[in-house]
Amino acid sequence: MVVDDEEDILNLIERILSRRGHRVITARDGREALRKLKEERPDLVLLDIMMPGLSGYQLCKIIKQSRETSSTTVAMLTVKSDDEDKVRALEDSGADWYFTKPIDAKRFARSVEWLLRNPPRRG
Amino acid sequence: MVRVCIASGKGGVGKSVICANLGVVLSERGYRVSLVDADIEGPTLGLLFGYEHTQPTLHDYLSGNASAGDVVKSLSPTLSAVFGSVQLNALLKELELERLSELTSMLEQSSDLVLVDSPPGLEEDTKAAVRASEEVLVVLNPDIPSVAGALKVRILARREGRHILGVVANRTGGEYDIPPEELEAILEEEVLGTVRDDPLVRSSLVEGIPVVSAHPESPAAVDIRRLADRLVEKLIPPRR
Repeated sequence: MVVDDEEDILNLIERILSRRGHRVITARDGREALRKLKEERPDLVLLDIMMPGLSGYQLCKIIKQSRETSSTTVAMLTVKSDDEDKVRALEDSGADWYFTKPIDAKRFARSVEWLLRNPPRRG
Repeated sequence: MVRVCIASGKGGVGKSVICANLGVVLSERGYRVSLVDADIEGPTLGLLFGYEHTQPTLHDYLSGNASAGDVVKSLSPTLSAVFGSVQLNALLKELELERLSELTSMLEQSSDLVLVDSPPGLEEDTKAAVRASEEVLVVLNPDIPSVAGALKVRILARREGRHILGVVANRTGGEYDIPPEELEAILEEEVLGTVRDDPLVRSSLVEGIPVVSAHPESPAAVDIRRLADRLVEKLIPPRR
């Protein structure tokens, strides 16, 4: 599932991943994401950080703290490239990985497949 | 002629093992190497070489009770080390952490390479270890807490105006390891080497002999020698 308020990004990620045979669900904000999470049970959630309403950090925390969704792999997909943002996502929000936009399509698809296959563990 | 701080944001990743073994490998190749155990609260470098109690220690130097010449221990013609004290009362002494930079500068004059084994975390003692070096080598395990720790080291190094030399992934080989290319992407640093998880490293800790000497053909020893090659390429100009 890709959660982003920018239509272009949703379309781009959907195109990259569906071409490799993945089914992609999209959501435009946190509320839609939470609803679809329960209905669709995605294997991976790719989250923008700066969104109206719930931020990616908040949404990630909710996903990771809910018993129903805590085992879902969550990766940030954002333009925020500071180390401080990455630490906040991985440590405070419980994200499993962090991608910085812009992305290289081939490289990104490989990374997503790694996350789907062997999501990293917390030690 | 360069001082390298070996750091990790998270404890227990195997920093001291990497430090000790790199020191041995490079000194055996003829480089003059000095090791400094700057892990003030949990020094283990001495134990890795089989020294349980040495006197005087870095703690004596930092408290002004010993000179640099007193605390440097010669381990071989090309390898020397300054160990820390494992005794609790050493920690109770008033330590002047800024003296660490003076010590590493002094050692640098007679060494090709000074390796500073830093404490984990981002407290004052870690900052002192980073300040006492020009370069920072980040050691991590291929998992999320370790990556977060490595990012914090990057933040600290940047604040202190120090350059990150690269990253070493230690204890690799697990099914859920973060692959080196993903580590490079998230950390925006080169992975200079990976060192496989190896039970012989643990045996060598008990033996008090670094694994590259005790078990030179072991997977970890092979990987550490390869890492040493890469470090030499990055740091030390070719010898005549």
